[in-house]
Amino acid sequence: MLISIQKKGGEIKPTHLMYRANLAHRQLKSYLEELLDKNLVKRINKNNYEYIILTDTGLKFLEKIREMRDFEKTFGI
Amino acid sequence: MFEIVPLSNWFSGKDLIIDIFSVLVLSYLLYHIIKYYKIKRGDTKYRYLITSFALLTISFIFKVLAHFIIYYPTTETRHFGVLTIVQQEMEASGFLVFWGIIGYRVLSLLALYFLTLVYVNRPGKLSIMLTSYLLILVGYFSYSMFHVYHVTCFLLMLVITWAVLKNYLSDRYHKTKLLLWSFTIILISHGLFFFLSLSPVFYIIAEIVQLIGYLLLLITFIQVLRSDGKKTRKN
Repeated sequence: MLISIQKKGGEIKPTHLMYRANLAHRQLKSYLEELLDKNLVKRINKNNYEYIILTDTGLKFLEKIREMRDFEKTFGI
Repeated sequence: MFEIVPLSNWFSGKDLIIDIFSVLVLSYLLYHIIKYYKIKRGDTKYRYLITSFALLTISFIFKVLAHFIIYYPTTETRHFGVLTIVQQEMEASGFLVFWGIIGYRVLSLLALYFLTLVYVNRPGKLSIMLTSYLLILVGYFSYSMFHVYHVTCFLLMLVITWAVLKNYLSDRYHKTKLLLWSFTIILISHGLFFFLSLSPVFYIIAEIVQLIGYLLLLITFIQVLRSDGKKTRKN
């Protein structure tokens, strides 16, 4: 989900996120709550539309994940 | 016999710096691996990796302490009751050097073994415990036969390097190539330590080779840290 948001430039409409992350509505709702709780994303209103945006924490977390994947690839684990 | 070798004046004490550098590199890696483990909590490979790097770091601390005692012996002379006091301090020194070296060897052997577990098919707990016990014995008895320790390290490093080589051949990733070089150089350093009885020069060469190996390991890891590169738009 975080990668999907980042690929859309850091902000995405919930419906688009649902399609991009290939999730059912119920799944999206549950995962989104978790991400909101952990302050990795937040909801904003723009032009009367709701958007989900990446927070600084979310962005840092994504960078850490990318770093970890590269570490795993390098070390072959 | 523990390898106290007569070193050239210019190198005397420099091995201490090399070992401190190794401690710093390993601690730096350990710090980041623990961070990754927090993301992938419960991952067995990470658990082995953390165990391995933690043991290796502690083992080098033992080595540094032992070398520190050798280079800076504490033999304070007092004028009253001289004999008793000096003897006690000398004994304490010998005791610390002995356990420093044994600690270094046992922990580094276990560290390398746990690193092999990251790459090979993982055996059961009983097998791990038995192998660990045997490695502790090797480390302990290697105090009188240092060759055994270096040969065992060489073999364990060979297994690890072979696994990294296979990994590199499968995807030809440039950072894996750097890691492969780093492990190969550390492997060579263990090979060189084996020839210590022929000439003390081998000790100097092996220490320098080890330094290059850990330097390359650090460079590899710095490259991994830089991989986060593409920073996209923040909110």
